[in-house]
Amino acid sequence: MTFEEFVAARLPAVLKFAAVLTGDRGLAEDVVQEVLIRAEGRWQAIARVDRPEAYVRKMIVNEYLSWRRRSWRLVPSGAGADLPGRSTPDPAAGYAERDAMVAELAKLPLRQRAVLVLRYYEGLSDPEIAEVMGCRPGTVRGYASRALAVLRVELTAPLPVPAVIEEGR
Amino acid sequence: MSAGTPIRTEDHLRAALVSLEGCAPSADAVLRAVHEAAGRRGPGLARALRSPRSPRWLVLVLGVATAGAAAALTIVLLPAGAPSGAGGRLPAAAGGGLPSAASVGRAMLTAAGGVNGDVLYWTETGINRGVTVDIYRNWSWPAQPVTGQRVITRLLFSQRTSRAAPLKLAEDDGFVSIAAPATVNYVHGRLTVVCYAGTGWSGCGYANTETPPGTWSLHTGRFSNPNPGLGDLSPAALAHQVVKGLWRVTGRTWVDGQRAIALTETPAGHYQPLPTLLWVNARTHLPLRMIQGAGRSPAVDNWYYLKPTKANMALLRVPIPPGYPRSS
Repeated sequence: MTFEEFVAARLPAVLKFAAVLTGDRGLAEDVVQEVLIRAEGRWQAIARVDRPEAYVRKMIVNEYLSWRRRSWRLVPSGAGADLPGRSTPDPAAGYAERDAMVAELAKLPLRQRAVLVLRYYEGLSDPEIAEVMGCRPGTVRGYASRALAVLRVELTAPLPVPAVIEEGR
Repeated sequence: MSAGTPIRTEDHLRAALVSLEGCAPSADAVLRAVHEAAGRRGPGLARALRSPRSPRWLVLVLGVATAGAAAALTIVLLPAGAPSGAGGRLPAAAGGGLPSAASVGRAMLTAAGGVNGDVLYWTETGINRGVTVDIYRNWSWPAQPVTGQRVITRLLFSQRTSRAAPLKLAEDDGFVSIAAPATVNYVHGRLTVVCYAGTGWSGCGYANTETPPGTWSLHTGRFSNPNPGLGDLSPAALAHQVVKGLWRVTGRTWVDGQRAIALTETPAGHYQPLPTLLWVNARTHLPLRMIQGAGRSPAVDNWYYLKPTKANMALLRVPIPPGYPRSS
């Protein structure tokens, strides 16, 4: 698969992933742009990995965390979704609740947020998330546990207690 | 959330995340930005040359070169210091205590500033199952330009169109401009393009220029800022990455007869999860080599720092092949 073929086939999905990860249109655009520039320059090598898209998504996660570490951007506000307090409130209570959760997601530490996106949006298992984020599965469960508690999300199956929890920032 | 708020379920969370898809930027906007930035932020002109505006880079017509033309243009590009296909393999450690990545990074930053007057010669070799498939050779002077300096760069691209075919010269570009900050999108410059015949391409180009095969062209005007010396793989950019902790020191070794410090990219590095190794001269702290990928299909970068002698400065000039007419 050439870089152009990858972009033609997968860019919309990659952009959605970046949008969900960052919660910010401008940041998503910047992150994907940075990643694609590097990926294009290294496509010959990337194309040889088993799943180029997974590789690119990992680059996006790394870039997102890196952007935040560098403080190049403001913390995502979740402004891409309508937040409480807007001038034309959505009449549907369910939407309001969803928007409230979006706003709370934006306040999570970045690694906790990334874990939730990878688990609940991408559908990855904890070992797969650990692979993407370069940490242990126990650490992933720790991030998830903390984040879900903050969001008051009730699990369908309780999480195992992590043995080690790294600093979630 | 107030105490009276109902407990949310995982499905609520999924719905909230999916709603953020509405933040997705326009694909067209991203692609435009990528193509624009590729021309000004890459390590050289190569990124711009690969832009989708030049689909010829992807649509190769194999076997169109005549045997005579192929023989005439065949070259051996691997420099003396290039690795011999041992991608991703760490050379034997030479022993000794290891410095911290932070101290190595700081020394690299100082070193990068110390070679400003040199000609930076950088090669990028793509290897597929043990066979070199393409090579970018880049010369840039000054090696680490500062804003306002006159900068000369040259990119020579060679490619093998099949495993059996020889490496052939494909395109030779020279660019002269005044170094501008990375934040500047455009610079005024002079571009020389030689588009070699017999590659199967429909032509060569940079930015809005077009050069048919078997011709050369000269263009003066506004171009995307190529930002030589400031790309991801410049000595200074690599030094910044090491300082920021994106690399860790893993050993000491020898590379082409030079004592070297070996580094491995951390999981937070730009090119993960590809295994990516870097070797830095232990005395000068300048990057020597980087290998990305494992096994027999790595991409290999080598850096050389040439004194600005008359002979080395001559390498920055793009030679016009005899008999090639100017097309524009």
